Amino acid sequence: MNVNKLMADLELRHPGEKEYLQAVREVLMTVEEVYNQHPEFEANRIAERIVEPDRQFTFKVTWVDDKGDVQVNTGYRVQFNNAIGPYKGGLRFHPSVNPSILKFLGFEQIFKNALTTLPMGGAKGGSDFNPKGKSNGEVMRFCQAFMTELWRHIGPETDVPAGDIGVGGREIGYLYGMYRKLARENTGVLTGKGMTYGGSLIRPEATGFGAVYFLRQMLETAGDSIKGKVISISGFGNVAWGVATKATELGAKVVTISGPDGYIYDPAGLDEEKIAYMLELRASNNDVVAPYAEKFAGSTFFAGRKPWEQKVDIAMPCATQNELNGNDAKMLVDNGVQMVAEVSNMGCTPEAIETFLEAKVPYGPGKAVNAGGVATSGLEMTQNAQKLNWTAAEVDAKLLQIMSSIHTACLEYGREGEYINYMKGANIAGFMKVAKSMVEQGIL
Amino acid sequence: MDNTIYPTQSGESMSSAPFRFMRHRIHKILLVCCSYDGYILEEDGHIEAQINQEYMDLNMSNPPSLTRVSSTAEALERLESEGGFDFILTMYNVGEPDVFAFSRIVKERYPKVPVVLLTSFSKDIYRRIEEQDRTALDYIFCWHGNADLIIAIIKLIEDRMNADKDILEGGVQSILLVEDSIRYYSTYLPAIYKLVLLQNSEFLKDAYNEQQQILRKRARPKILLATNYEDAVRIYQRYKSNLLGVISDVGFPLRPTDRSSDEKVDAGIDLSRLIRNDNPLMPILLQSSEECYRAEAEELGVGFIHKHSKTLHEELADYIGQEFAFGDFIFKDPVDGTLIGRAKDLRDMQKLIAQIPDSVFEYHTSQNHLSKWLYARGLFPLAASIRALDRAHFDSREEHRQKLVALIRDYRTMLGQGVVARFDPESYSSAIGFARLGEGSLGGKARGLAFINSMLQKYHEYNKYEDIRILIPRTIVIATDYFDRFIKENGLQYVVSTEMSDEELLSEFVASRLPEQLISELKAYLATVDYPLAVRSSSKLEDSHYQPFAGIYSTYMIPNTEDKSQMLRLLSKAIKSVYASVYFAASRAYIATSSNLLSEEKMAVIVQQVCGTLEDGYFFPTLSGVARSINHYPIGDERPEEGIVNIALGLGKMVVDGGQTLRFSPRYPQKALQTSTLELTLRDTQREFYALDMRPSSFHISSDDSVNLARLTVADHSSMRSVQHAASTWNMLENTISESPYDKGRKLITFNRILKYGSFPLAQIIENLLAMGEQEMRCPVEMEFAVNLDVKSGQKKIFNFLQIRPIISTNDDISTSWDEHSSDGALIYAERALGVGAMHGISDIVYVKPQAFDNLRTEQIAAELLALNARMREEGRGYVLVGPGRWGSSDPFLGIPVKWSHISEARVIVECGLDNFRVEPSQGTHFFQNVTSLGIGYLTINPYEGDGVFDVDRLDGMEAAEEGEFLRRVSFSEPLTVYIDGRNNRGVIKTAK
Repeated sequence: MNVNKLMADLELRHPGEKEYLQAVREVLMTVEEVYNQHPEFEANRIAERIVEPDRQFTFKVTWVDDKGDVQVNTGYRVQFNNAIGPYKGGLRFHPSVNPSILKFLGFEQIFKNALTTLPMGGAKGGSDFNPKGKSNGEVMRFCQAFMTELWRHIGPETDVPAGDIGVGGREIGYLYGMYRKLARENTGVLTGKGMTYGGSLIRPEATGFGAVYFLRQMLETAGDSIKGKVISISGFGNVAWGVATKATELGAKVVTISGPDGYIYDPAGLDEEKIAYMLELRASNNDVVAPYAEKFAGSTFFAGRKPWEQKVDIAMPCATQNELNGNDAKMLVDNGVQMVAEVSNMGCTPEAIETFLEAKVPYGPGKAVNAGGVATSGLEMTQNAQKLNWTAAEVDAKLLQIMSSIHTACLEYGREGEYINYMKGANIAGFMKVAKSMVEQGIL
Repeated sequence: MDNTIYPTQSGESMSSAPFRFMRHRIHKILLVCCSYDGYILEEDGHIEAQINQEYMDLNMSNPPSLTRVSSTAEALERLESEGGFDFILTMYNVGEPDVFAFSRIVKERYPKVPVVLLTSFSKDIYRRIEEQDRTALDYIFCWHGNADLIIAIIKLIEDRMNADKDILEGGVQSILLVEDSIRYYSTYLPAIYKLVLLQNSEFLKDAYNEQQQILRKRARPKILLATNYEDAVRIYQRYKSNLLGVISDVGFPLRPTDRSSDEKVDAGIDLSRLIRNDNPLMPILLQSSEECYRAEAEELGVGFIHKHSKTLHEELADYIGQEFAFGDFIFKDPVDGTLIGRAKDLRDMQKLIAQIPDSVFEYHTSQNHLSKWLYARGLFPLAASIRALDRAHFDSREEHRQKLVALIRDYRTMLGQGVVARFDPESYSSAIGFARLGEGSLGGKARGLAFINSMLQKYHEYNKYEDIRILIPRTIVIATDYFDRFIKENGLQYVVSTEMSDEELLSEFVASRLPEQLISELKAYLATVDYPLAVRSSSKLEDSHYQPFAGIYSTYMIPNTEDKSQMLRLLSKAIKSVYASVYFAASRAYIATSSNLLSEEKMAVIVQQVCGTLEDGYFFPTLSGVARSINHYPIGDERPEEGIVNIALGLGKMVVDGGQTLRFSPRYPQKALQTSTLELTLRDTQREFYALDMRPSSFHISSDDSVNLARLTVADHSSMRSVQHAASTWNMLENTISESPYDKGRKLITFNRILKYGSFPLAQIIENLLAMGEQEMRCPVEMEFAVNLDVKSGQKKIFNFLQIRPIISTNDDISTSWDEHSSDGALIYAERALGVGAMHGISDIVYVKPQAFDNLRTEQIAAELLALNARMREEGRGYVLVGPGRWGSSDPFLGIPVKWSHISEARVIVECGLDNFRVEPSQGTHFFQNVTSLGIGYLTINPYEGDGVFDVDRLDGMEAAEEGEFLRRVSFSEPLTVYIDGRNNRGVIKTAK
């Protein structure tokens, strides 16, 4: 594969789709080396085939607003790749939605889904409809109109959309209702459904729980255990709460949480009461963690600073993009951090990642560590297919199993002598799974 | 000509004069104004009643009738069909033809009928008036809700009609007022008439029969107004023999046809010289906003008052009181000027004449001081008799003295002023919804309230819905005369010109005592009260047309207690605290900025039932809100004319202070932006609310009027009944919102049950009331309301209409060509901008340094700004203020918590978002209302997301005129080009070419 030549061709065929073209380039660059070790890939023109969606639908969505005026939006579904399972990917309702963005998101989704080790292909869809400022009735009429076209192209074994920006529980409900009416069937055609009609338990906790399971695997691989480990986490939302809960349950000591106002250092570690208090802080919706220090003696609030300055065994950024930069990484390394598991999407800057890799500190990238969220969608599909609702414990057990599989996949492609480059492993594992299955299924 | 036209001989008894004063009177007035103005004139000002009263006093059989029409077109029809009108008084916004064309048509058809334009004070309106042909208007007056002015105008017109006969033939005295500023003569004229009438009414107490009262009233000094040099000289020459004195501006035009911009800057000096040469003893008072003329005035031996003096009215009263023989009569030692005695009425005069030393008696009688003083009060027979009786008529000084004492004694009488007390302690009961204590003005806010009351009745709103009552809360108003009495009885006048801290001022006021009569009335009132009370300001200037004082003065709340004497103590403290708030720093700054005079301000106080119910020791309504019939920031499908509403759980302080509220269009209540998606609902709904802490101990004296308001979190009080009416529940597991407040999960204040599911027709009620308000006021309106849904089964829910006030519309703004004002090279450019056209003379930009901004330190930023603003005020420099967040927010996390005094010199305010600090405009808040009504530019930009421009790098690259920890001021050598296009909501600030 010659990435530059391939990209030049692609740019000629898809001029102006800059988000999509950039995503393709990044993926191909990452896998170029291993790809070229497989002559069957080149023979089957896997790269050229994988970068093109299987098909794209663009359709008109006509609906009537509250004033009685007719409104017209554009709907899209990009079915990218279904080599390993039915197309799977979110629907986004936002004015910025266009084919380039959907192709970019759909392309990335192929590998995210593949990494979970579950049978899910890649897709993305949505509309330029903006639910902001719309009434419930308008949102409902739009969703119904959207589904009158989309329903022909999806199905539990074909394409299973989920939510994304602008598509939450309410929208999934309206979409599912219309699908059910048109298709005359109750099937797991969408994920993110309400508990009364096929939704799954453990959704809010899945990302955090899954991250800790992944971390435990990382430690065990290094011949260590999570028990007694001192962990700093950032954030205090659902994900941080899930991480703190599971890590504490497994015997680790979480000593920090953080908010936009600064961070809390609690050397005694979080316990059940303190973790419950995180939810209260969250419920206050004031976006501050300072009150924690007032409530719990022995803890200290550091205004305007980040938790990465504390000496810990493990760091788990759980808050936002780019929250851990090169300096933070250096401080962690200097303080002897043993491992870093990135829970937030792109939580570490490229400089930070570079610092960890250079210092040979095992670094779990977000796409692997936080795959628990995506995995739960797969588990919802499975429950729907089985016509069963699992208990929370059952879902948790499956989640553990999935995270373990993801870890194994990362190991397979990430070993660099003694050191395990999880980022490389995660990048390649998803791709390899899809590429191999495409080869095995012949030229289609 | 001798003033003594009815000389009496010694010993001759005085009789009523045969001369017939005031032959020409106004009988039929055509009033052209919208319903709101008409209502205020008729209901609050009792204008018709006052005119009738005066006519009755004068024993005339036909008092003028007021015919009100609501447009000029209708006025012309009336003039045609009915006729007989001898005076037309018109407001500004009265349809087509406009007032100028209307006045020309009237003058063509009815040349003798005076036409007077009465307009609210607004720079914008004045600018437009200047551009018009005003020759057909006899006078233009500026009105800010004081009924005195209307009476003054009628008197002025009548004085002009009768001047020749009464002055030249009847010997009536006169005062010449030379002033070209509408704003100032509108202030002076009622003040002078008031002084004249005050003297009259004081002396009426001495009159022993009705006939004498009438004569004195008819013969009061006349006021003659000239607005240019030519007229002033003409009037002076004609009436100089009967002139008590001259009050003159320094700069005014020479000819009637000149524009005010062509005035001769020292025309008043010329006039003074002319008069001085003619009569060295003629009292002259010059007034100017330029201090430099004081020296010239002194040189000429004439009085001088600085127009912007905080004590303008007091100085005016003092001067004309002393020099025009208006005030108390001062008996002085002729040698050293020592004060010997002071007579305020005939009784004092009689007493003092009997006591004063011979030399003093000799001095005052020989100089005719006594008769002059009496003339000034229209006591012609007495004045004439005394003047006629000089020393030569008597054998001894003692005889002379005894004669004068006897003459005066004959005039003395004591009459009580008939006070119609609407609040009757004997008959007051809880069935009475609106009562008035005292006789003065109700103040702006109470006027609005009274207007609403009548409006609700007119439109049958009260019972429109089966299970809802729409009404104003039960209210009493303590009129402004009690404020005057309070100030006077406690000797608090000095605070007007004294700089004191709010706390000092407050303790001074609270330590003072309310008038006894008021206390006994309040006792009677409290006997009928079993609910908490809101004690609100209702100042004379507040909330009248174009005078936004909303949120400037204090509103206190007090709990109800079993112990009525304890409640009376709390209520008294609250009333005194509201009185004190007139003089707080924030109020002073606001009054100065809005071109009003502190000395003009008077306070009425509204005491009203607080809407809501009691739960867990807290009292609050289900929701409070502000609705505006015009929406300056329409989103999506909304249109400006559909209006906008902001509501919040609990007391209205959250809305007024610009806290987190729910914004929705009354036309589309189901489409509130903040609750349209789960993410927005989680982020942008109310998390705290205000409630009244019902423990009596929680109310104590403080300049902070929210001292006993508790700020409660929704999370901690989610089980309260009223909270449940407003709340939905977040289902974290399913990522949805449940509309039942009983479900498990975090409570979100969405008001979905009301707005999306129609459990209460809030939007419909508001839409109706806004339409009704617009219809009646003929302009966009803003209203405040509160709703209580926490009522027992079978009882009616309450919609309390709390306030209505007009909003300045920017519809008349001239749209600019953006070819001339492109955003290229702009320092600041906004596509969300409010303001009025070009702004001149701004050379400074003050900005919060983005890198120094910290939303945890906004209070320190506000403190730094306060100091900077004070320096700018001293230097008289306006500036452009740029900073992140909502200016004026009471929540320091939302933005910099400034009050008006922090930013009073800012001419343009820019709310500028940072990439980590998003800005939603402060629209709908009182702060915002003040900003727009004062013509301050108001821009909202979020440059980090491509919404507008703020070239901070360029400013950072310039040398700072001053720089602190958070703020930086950059000064430009040339004034900036500032242009705001209100119609297209665009604004630009650039360096001059």
